[in-house]
Amino acid sequence: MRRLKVDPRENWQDIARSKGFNFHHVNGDLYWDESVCYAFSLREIEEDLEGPAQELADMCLDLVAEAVESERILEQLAIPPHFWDMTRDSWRRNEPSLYGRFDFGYDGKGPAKLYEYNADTPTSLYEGAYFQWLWLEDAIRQGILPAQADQFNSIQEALIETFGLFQVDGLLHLASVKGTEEDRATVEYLRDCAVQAGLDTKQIYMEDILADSQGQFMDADQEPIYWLFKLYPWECMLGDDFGLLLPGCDTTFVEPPWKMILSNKGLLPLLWERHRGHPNLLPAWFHKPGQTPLSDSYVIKPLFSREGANIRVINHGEEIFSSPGEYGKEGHIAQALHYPPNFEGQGPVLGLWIVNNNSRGLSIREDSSPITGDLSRFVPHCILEDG
Amino acid sequence: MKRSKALSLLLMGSLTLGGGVGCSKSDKEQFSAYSTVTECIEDGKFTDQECQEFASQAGSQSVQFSSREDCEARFGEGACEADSAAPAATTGADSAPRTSSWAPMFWGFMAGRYLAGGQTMQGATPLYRAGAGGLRTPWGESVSPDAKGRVAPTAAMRQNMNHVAKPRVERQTSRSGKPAGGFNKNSRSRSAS
Repeated sequence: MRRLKVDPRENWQDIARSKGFNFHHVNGDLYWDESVCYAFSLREIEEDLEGPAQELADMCLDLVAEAVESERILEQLAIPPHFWDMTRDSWRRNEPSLYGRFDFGYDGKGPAKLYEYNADTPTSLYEGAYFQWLWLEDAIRQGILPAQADQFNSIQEALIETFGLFQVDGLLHLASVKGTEEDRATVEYLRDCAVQAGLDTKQIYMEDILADSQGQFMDADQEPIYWLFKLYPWECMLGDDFGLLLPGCDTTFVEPPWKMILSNKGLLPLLWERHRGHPNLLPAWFHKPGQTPLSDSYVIKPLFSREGANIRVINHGEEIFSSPGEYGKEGHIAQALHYPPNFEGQGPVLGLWIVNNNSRGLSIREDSSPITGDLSRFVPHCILEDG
Repeated sequence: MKRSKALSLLLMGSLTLGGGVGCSKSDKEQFSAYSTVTECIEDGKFTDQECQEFASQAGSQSVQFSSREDCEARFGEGACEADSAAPAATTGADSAPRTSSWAPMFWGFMAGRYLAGGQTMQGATPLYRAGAGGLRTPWGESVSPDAKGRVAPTAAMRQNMNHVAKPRVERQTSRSGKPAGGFNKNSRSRSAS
């Protein structure tokens, strides 16, 4: 694993514009950065990343099968009892999952370590699945990278295949929340994939969803919503005014309710309890004040949190970092402290994409702060043997 | 080969993505920097109670770093001091006792009000003095208030405000007819990571 300085494509901003990628800068700061890339050997990709991600994905499904039958686990995950049946039924009915992203710390030497699983609403999908792929093709064509360079990335292909497996009768609605360009573009991209799979689609906003007198969901044109891809976390939906309608509604959701078990940070201690010592897991436990930690250096994370909010870092028993935010009232987990590696002052976090439960690609965000927040930069990767 | 042979897009790029998203600023939007609660109240844009809530909200979001270097990387040279919990280490950099915690100097808070998900959201984040003068958010972003304290919010500021903002409680007569959509209470949260 190497961090290489490479020439950006001269016209990359024009390419981005023509491909609908309008959030490559955030607040004037570069978000998509192709002046560097990470290069991996094929062995690193297959043995250290692709394989472990597949193994973890399978372990996660085993855990869901156990959790939906266990009130104790559902309680540990702070899922309200009103939604237990819905969660269990979605699993028993085999409702399909589209995608998720594992975040790993990896330095090319030791095993990749799982930080967390963004199983419900991962973003950075478009830039990982499509724009990164386009970068590699262009970079080879322009002589920036040698012809034998490759990339671990069949994410888009897998998304289209998976949409093709959905038994959608009528329209697939796809929704994000208002006011975020990045989320809207992510949903637009998924809609593009769904259309390529032959589905009829309609893009809407979560805020515009209505309910009829029977508690069934409709879009603003009063068309029924039978299938909904929602880039909006389950834990938010449960707490909304319409939350109570969810168990009785006819809508099939993507991601399905059982993904709540995996997008919850409680996943980390549950996996550790079942696979203690697994090379790709960090020790993790449910954190309660006053309890003796498993390690004296650890990170405390809320069960539900996004974008690195409300994280506390404890190093040798002392808090050395905390990030603001308002998550955490449902409880916390702790995970042994494991910093991302340092590559020229940057800490890359590796995102391994799972599509239809298959490990299908890699994307990388790097940040100079220890917590990957929403201002970290996306950098592409390639497979290129050393020397 | 570990990558797809051919990929294409059907829709993206042909549409002006996000056209309108950037144009949805309401005249209700308001970002302002205040060094004290009194300043906030006197400005008249927020109620007394709101200003007090902003100050306590900002005060609860402290940032800390394990080293002066990390802290200065975000707030600039000379911007950081050893945490007050450490033994009095006034200014002397050479003789400062070893401490595990560094923090930038608190200046005040930035209050924000904006529309999101069809409702008015508001909240506050702390502001710190930057090493080279000026103010910075906890994320190290420079904030330059005008003479009246007004700040032109960037996309990142709005996003960061989303972590802490809450719907504004307004005493409005409810409109007749069907209620608007019921998936919106939490829509201030950017959805994903």
